[in-house]
Amino acid sequence: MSQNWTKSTREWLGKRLPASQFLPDKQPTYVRSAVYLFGALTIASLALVIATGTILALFGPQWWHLNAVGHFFNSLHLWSVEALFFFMVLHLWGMFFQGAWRDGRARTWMTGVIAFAVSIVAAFTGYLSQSNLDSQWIAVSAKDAMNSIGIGGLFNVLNFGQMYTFHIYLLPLIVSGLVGLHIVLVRLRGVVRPYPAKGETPAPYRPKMTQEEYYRGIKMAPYDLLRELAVMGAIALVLVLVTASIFSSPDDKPLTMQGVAQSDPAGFVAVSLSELAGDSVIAQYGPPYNTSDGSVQSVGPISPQKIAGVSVPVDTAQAYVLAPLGTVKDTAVTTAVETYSKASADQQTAWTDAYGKAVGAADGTLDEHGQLKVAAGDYGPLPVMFGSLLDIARSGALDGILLTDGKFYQTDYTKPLLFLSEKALPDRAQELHLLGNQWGMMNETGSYPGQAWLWLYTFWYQVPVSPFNGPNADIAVWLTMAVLTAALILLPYIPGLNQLPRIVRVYRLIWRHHYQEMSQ
Amino acid sequence: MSPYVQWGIFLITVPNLIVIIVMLLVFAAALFIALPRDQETDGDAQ
Repeated sequence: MSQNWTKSTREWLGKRLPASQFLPDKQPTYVRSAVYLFGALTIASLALVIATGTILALFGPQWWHLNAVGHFFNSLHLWSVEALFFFMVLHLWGMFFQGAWRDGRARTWMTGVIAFAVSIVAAFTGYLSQSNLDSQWIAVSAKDAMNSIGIGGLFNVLNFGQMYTFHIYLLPLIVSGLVGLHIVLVRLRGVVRPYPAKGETPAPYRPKMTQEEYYRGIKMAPYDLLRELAVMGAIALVLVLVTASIFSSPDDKPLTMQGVAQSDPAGFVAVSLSELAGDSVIAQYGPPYNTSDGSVQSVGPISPQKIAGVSVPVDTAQAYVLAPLGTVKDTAVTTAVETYSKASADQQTAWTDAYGKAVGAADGTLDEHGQLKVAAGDYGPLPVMFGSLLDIARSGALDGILLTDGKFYQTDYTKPLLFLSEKALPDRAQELHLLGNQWGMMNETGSYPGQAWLWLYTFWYQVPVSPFNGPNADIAVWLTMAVLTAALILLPYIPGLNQLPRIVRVYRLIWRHHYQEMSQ
Repeated sequence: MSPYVQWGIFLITVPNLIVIIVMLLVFAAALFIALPRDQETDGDAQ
């Protein structure tokens, strides 16, 4: 290698990727099928996703929620994403049926599949960043899957700030890099030759063949790459403009602690009481929130969730009841909290059990002091405590308290979302057909297509056999999808599977003109 | 609120089903659509 890095890099690039290959004006005549256009349509859609996403990021969430122009750009972004996956999947199908990994193109295939997989994560963080009801429901549904494999603390789907950063910075950077590398590999290698016709001797191939050598003897036709990209860009733009204009985008208002306390005071008090008593789902969840094991998943003796440990600690009694009541400057409330705290564990349990039954039987009406009306009984200090907590929540103060962590800017919604995941969000999701048994995660509010590209992931949850419908369902689905994704990435190297395109023979349609010419 | 359909373990909302059907139709159509070509040139790629 020359000591001049610049010169040697230029020479290497000039040899490996000459301009005639990077911006070709000819291509083999067998490239006749419209299937070849899906790649350009995918690139065009990605450009639209990045452009609309950049504008949304510039103006921020308030703009896309409250301003008509902002909401239209939100719709453009959503439909660009739908277009991106629509064409990316069609491109994937097209390349699969061509066996496009042949003749030294395995890396091209693998970068494409990895770009597809990372795009799914990018889109997923986008759905979490919408900051509406969809985001809330997707976040509380997905947290169990993330927690089951031990990454729930590192990749906390309930933390809006973290997900937003992933969505607008890290993941777009990775997707763009992978797509760029994929395109370079495509240009470097050129399009793969058709499968040999019956009786035809396969053309020789050897590694490190130049494109000129690879295409030797093959008829070429004029080709304008940039014009094709421009036309496909225009088609994608029109498609996105039309769908966004006609269908807009869903934006159901998110639930708040205030709204829940106002609309369902009995439900709010019941959940708060279970958080204090320590018998709620979250109180007994386990890592990453606490050391319990109610929702811990494992594969045999191995539990990545336990190994990862408690990284997002949530003391439910303190977070949802005692700390909020600590902000109240009222002697009666302070005394009630003190009485409860100093009582024996048995006494506390007796009070919470009795009050829980009374709250469960309550019809949700409030008395003149704003406290929940319940049957008379010995509930100790609990009616005063929960009357005050209900006041705080109904005023909207609890929403702020649950976000406060000693800093001025707040973007981590873990605590309120965990509380809402106990009852309010599942109740609302059921009304909107968003539950897992209603095709859950890939669904959207309203009559919108959701994340259809997640169909295989969500499909496993419907399989009515263990482990897919048992307590370890999330980790089982994760492992299944990890194996299938790895198989898709490594398809070029898997004997038998890499011969599937030759067996299903869809390529006969893609290259039918080529085969017709050969038979003449 | 999206309606959904279920055939055994296959469960899907109608909007998502429509998207998947349209994808299949577009792909099938693309298999039969040929791109326009000008004149061909015999010989090598470059």
